[in-house]
This record gives sequence, structure tokens and C-alpha cells, in this order.
Amino acid sequence: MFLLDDMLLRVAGISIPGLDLIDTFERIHDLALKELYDLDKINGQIKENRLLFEMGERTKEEYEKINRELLGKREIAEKIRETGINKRFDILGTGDLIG
Amino acid sequence: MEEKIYVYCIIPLSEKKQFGNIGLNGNSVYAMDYKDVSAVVSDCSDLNPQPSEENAKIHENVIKEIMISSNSVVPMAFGMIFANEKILKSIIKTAYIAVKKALNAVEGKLELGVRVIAKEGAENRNGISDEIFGTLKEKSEETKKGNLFSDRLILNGHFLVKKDRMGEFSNNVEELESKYPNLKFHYSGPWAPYNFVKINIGADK
Repeated sequence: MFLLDDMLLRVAGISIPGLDLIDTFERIHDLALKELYDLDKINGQIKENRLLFEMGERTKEEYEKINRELLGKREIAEKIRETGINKRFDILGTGDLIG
Repeated sequence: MEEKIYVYCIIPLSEKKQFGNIGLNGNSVYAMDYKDVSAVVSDCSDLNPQPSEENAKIHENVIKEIMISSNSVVPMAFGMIFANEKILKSIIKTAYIAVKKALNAVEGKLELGVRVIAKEGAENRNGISDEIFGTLKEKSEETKKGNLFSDRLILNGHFLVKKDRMGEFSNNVEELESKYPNLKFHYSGPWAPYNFVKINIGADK
């Protein structure tokens, strides 16, 4: 009910600082997720890791460890993209959403 | 279950030919001809082969093997699978003119890749990347710039070069390496011209 109250207040044009803080936190959290699971960025990191390995700047062990982590992240990012679970919907039609 | 057909590349060849058991899963690679062009294929039971490093290497090795005997190769991306021979041939028939154009465009040419990275923490790289790219462009028929996927990457260049100018191109890369000791050069190839031909054909995916 807490979130619903917040939404109703917003529709009524009322802003309560405490509630805005939670909203801000949510936005930052969403942005962090977007950054962490950005598929293009992860693909770039996979290529970078390979390049640095081939140029002798990373050992085989380092390369393999980082590669495993990145492949795991990519799998999650692909699932997020497929399912669209990072999308929020503008139920109230206020245009206030984070995609 | 009916075997599907996995395609590696297309070449100008009008006869049946075997290339040995060098395909995915150790399968036999052979030419499937339509008029004067052939798709180089192997049978494949899996509709979605894993795009693993090992499979990507097999795909690339098949193409490299074909490049030894064919002066013109149009490579396919990893994972192009068709339900059966009939469907593949009907698609080649539809795309025949585009395929011929692509084969002509890359005849006697190959792709070389030059990536240049700055040493960690290095600054002042403005203009250097353009100079390197410009020098190598002079020896190339066509060029493309790829994504700079790392902060340290200052150039990710693809160059379509005539086979008989590859030596000149390599000398240029060496000269540039000596000229810029603070940069690291990653010179790769010869590749089939992945970045210079694109044929959009429907696959059973």
C-alpha cells in the first residue's frame, strides 16, 4: 500500500521528501542493474579480455577466470533482454517510468 | 530425425567435392552445388549449435581450409542452419545474383585486422589513430572501422586487401609499430572477408 499511496499523492501533485528518497533509490538501483547487465557492454568486455590475453597482458588463468564471469553475466543479460523484466510500465499514464 | 545442413561459406564451384571430416562434431564437409556456385556445408543434427570458442574455431578453420583452394570465399556467420538440401538450394537460387556479385567483389582479396591499443594510462592519442588508419587504407581496396569495445583501444580496423599486396600491407604495419613504440598492435588474418560481404538469406532458425 505504501507504493500505491505514493502514486496517489503524485497524481494529486503532492510530493513527500521521504517517499521521494525511496523513489530516487529505486531509480539508482535500476540504473545500476542496467549498467551491470548491459549486453553490448558485456560483449565488449568479452572481446577486450580476449584481446588483452592475446597481447600477453593477461595470463591464461586470468583470462579464463574473467571470461567465465563475463559469460555468466551475459547469460543473465540475455535473459533480461528476452523477458523484458527490466521494463517498468507507466500504469498511471504520467510518463514517469524507467525502461 | 532428419539431418539439417550447416553452411560455412559459399564459393565459385560447380561440382561435388569433399573436404574431409573437419566440420562441427567431426562431420564431413562437402560442397553442395547450384549452377556455378557451391555452398560448403556439413550435416548437422543440432538446430542450435553452441557458439562456443571451440565451435567458432572449427567454423573458422573450415573457412581457412577452403580459402587455400578457392580464390573467392563468401563466409557465413556462425550458426546458419537449413532444414534440408532442397530449402538451401531454393534459397541460393533466390539469392543467386547477390551471391555472384559478392563472389566477384571479393575475388583475389582477403581481410586483415589491425587493432591498436594504448598502454595503460597513456594519454595524447588524438590524431594517431587517423594517421595509422589512413596509412593502411592506401594499401587496401576497402576499409571499415569496428567498434572501440575497450577504453584502451584506439583503432579497430578491418582492411580488404588484394592477396598480392598483403606483403606490402604487413610491411606497413611493421613500420607503424616501430614508429609508435608506445602503442601495441594486434595484427590478425588473413580472414575471409566477413566485414565486406553481407548476403541476407533466410535460415531455418
